[in-house]
Amino acid sequence: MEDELVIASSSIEGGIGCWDLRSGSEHLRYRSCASPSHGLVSVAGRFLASSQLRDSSSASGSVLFWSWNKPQVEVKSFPSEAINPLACNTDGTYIVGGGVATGRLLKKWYAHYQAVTSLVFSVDQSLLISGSADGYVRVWSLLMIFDEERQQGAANLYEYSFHGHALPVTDIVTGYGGSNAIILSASQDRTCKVWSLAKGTLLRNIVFPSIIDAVALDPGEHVFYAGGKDGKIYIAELNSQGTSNNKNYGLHIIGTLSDQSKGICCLAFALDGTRLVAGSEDGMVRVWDTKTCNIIRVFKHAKGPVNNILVIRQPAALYPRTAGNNQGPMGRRHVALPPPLEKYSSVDKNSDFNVFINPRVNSRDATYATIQSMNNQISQLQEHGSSGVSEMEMERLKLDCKRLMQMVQQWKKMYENLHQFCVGELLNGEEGDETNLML
Amino acid sequence: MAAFDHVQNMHDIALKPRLLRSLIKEHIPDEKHQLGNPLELSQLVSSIKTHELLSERVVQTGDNKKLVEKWKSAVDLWIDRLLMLVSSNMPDKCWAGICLLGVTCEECSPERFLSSYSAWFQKLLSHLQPLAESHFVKVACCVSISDILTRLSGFPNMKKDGTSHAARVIQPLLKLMQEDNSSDAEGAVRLLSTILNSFPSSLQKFYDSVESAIVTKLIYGKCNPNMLKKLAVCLSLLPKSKGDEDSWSVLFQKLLIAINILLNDSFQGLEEDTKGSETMRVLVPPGKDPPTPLGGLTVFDFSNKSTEQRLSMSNISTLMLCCSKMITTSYPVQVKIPIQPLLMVAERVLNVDGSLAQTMYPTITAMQQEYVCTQLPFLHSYSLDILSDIVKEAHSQLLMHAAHMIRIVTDYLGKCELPELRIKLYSLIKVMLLSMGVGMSIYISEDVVSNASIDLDSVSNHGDDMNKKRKHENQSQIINPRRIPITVKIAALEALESLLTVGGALRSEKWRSDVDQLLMTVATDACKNGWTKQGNDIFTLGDTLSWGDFQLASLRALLPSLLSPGRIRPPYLSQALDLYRSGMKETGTKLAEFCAHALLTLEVLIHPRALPLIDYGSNFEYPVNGVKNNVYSSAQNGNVVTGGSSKKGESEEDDDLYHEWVKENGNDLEKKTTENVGSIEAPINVPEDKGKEILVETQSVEENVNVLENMDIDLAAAAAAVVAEFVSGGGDVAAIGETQGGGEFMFGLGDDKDGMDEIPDIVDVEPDTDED
Repeated sequence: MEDELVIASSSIEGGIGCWDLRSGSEHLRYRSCASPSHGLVSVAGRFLASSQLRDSSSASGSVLFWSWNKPQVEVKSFPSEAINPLACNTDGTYIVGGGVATGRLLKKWYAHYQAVTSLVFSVDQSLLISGSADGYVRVWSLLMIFDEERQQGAANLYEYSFHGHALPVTDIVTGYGGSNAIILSASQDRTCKVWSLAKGTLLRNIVFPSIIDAVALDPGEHVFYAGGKDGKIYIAELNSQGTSNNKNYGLHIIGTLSDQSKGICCLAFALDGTRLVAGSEDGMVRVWDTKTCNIIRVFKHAKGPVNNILVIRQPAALYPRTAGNNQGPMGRRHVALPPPLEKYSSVDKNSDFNVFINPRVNSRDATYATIQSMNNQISQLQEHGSSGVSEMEMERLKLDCKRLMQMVQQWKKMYENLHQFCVGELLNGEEGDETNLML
Repeated sequence: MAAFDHVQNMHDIALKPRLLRSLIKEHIPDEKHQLGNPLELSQLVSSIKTHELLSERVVQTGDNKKLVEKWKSAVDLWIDRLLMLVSSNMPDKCWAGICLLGVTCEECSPERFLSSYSAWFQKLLSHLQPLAESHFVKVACCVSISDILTRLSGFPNMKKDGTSHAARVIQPLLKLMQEDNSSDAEGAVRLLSTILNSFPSSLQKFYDSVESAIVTKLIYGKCNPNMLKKLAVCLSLLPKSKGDEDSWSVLFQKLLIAINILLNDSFQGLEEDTKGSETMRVLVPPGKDPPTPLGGLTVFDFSNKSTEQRLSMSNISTLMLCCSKMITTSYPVQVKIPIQPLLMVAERVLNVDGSLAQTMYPTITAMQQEYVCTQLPFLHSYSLDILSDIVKEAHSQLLMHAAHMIRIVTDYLGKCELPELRIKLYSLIKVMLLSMGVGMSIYISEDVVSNASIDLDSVSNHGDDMNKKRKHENQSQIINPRRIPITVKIAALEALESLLTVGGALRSEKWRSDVDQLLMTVATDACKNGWTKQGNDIFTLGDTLSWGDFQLASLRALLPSLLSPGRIRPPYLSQALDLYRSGMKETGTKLAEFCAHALLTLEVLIHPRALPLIDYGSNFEYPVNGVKNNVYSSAQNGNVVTGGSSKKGESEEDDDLYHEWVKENGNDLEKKTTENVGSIEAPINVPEDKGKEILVETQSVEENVNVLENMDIDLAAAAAAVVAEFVSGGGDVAAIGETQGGGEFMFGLGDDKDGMDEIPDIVDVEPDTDED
């Protein structure tokens, strides 16, 4: 099985922690990062990006990039306003950031009346779902956002606008199913709401005993997990059926995971879909086994709250030296990756938004051409009944001819020699005869 | 050798050297003998390949040293003979030697290859420098050298040697390319592409001359389409020799400029004059110098004004082919596709339909127009190729340009009539839909649906014509104004299929029911006269699509129409199931395979399942853990809604079987997963379908949810009672069912899982029907 990494960052200066989920060993700690909630992304597994909390005095925000093998910040960019949530599509071609002050996003469109708190791409990457402090959840079609012509015709820029939450939206996740996916939003109003993307309606509203700061969706969408301010992770049903006569927590809530910790700030599922990683206000990262409801691992990250957790496959570039030994050129290529970051950072600055840049990331070398051509050549030569064959035949005949000509020449020469000899003989003989006669 | 020195069997290593020797004896002529039938050669090669006679792969042990020696000497002999053949002055023998040497490069052991490739290379090169007389020899030589280089590129530490060797071939290669004969060029192009792929840096010094050689060949070579494609690939590989982003971009820019200039010439009077200069402005931004012309040829060379327009039009398509190869061929570094000029060129070409520009008096003769019209379809086709290549390569990056592209495509969709172009267009739409997802489907669904409907509408008539009224076919052709070929219909079906796959649920109210109906009608019509046997036609060419393919395509498109989520049960479910069932009986066809797949997929539609995370297999597992758990989960129990305590009683009694099973397996993992199950499992296991019911089916307002919730519970309880009667000897079970509600009841039932599954389904039906 591939190694999985748990990556966590905190809202106070604590760097980005990085652990192996299986062994629990800590990898590099990337320095100087104080991220807001939902402000940390792994850009297609190529590098880490995080928006930064800064003092409110400075006008511009900042987004930092780290490459896997260096603890220092590699690329810094300063968009024109502070950015809170970041989202990135799986290709790693776009990073979307939500502005704090005016609620504007990368292409700078007015999305919400208040700060955007969370952003997430739909599974097929064509839709963007944003949650805001104004309690709205909106679905945007990225195609529409970049199509000025259509925008003028359309009444709204967004596809859907869900207004259900009374207080700021804290987290959004979206489920499986393309156009029929569900959107799950959590809010400070102590509710989680399930929306249908296809129908644009509210499917379910679940009231929790506490403020919910983070949600995670079970990969089978059987239940979802909601991390509360009270330190409990509530398990709420989606497809499953709880005993609804339970009075402890309320409708649809079927259980909790809890170990008396402080408030849960973020949740993420490991790739196997059973281990749930939770970041808490007390600076700890706990890994739960959702099958057994036990904590199987605890990482200590920082003193402050851990508000971002990512679980990703271990990128090959994390340890370029070992990777280099194993894979040769592969390892080296990954190390050479950072330069394009500069380009991304310029895209990321919403100030100069360049439509032209379309870098193609296709570095796979062609494999060796197979040596089959030989046999094709032979069969082709056989089928080639016409000119080629006759030409070859002719060539051969020419050579034959030449040889024969030489032979003829030789014969001729021999004949001539013989002839001369005979004539000589004859003449000599005649002379002899003559002399004889004379005698 | 003794006459009775038998080998063990055909796998015996000892056989190989002997076999090789006898093959040499039989087939490889020496100085005195003539070469036999060339057919023998291919037999020889095939037996060498199957028996791996040249591989010399033996596990070295003490006792087979002699064998190794034997084999080595046999291969030595083989190579001696080949080299003798290669240097023979009889062209046919020489050719055979070169070919076999090429095979040897592929087959021989790496040690042997490394020790002697240089000598072989030299030998082969001597036939190219000076050029041999026979075409066959030249071609074979090129290919064999190409094989040497290919093999060489497999050794990571031979890069330098490979490059220096490759560099030595280039001069003769260029000479070959310049020769008129296209069969010569074939070998040369093959070798060139190998060099470009394996040792590109060897071409660095010759960059310009290679470029000019390829371009000249492309433009003047009068090559067949296959050859054109190869040349285009070579041209697109050429920048690899420098390996930087710039040379790639410059080459692309040159290509586009050449295309643009040629288009200016050809489309004169057929479009607005400004188009060309617009594109040019994007290609060469003001203030920058244009690059040198492509292949060193001046514009005049390209357009060939002096001769005829004919050439220039076909040159445009050739150059467009190069563009699409440039996009698709992989390149070692990141490069920037000049996407905007590409889109502009494609749009420009697709906009020209041969009609004269309106504002002017005609500037071209009827004959010129006629010629342009004959060539236009090719240009359109290449433009569509370029567009679809862009979509394939750019993925999500296309977002910024997607709107532009969609506009081009939807505009063209209205205009395009020729079947072949329509097919290409549909497949482009398919690619766009699949790559850009739901967002795209919202955009183009209406255009796609309306066009596909028109194309598919005549299916029923067509089917009738084909199969019933065959006598009247001529008549019906006259009645049918436009008869749409099957291939177009297949393409239209595929486009609809991907539309439904990607965006069947979102914003589809307007067209969804129509499309569902259309697809059902098409499928029924396609299949109503029985199934067509596939693959019986050896005599028709491989690519042709038949009625059978149409049937398959219609069934394929039907599947997402059933599966794609909607508000109600798919209206044609039973008809569709019937079709799939009957299709599955056509064993051995692709259609049957697909039908089987479709039936499996549809099963989930009929028995929707929301499987819990835990308790994968059976209900047996659960009670055991309930027992075991108490120790483990006591800490957790407090937090969990339902305590597992109430189940202890009954779980103990009827689960000896399970205990045994667990013991037998002794599976750690199994235990782990089930350890603490008790706490959450109880709730999860309860009437499964209720929650999903609510989620999947409409109820949007929460109060409604509550109502339904309660209703469901009642129903579940009722169902429980029913089942309780069902199961014989389930006295305690029934009791639990009553006291605990559905959940406890369920695991209590344990071994009667099938029955269990059915009951909730029955319960489900009711709310369903209520809502509808």
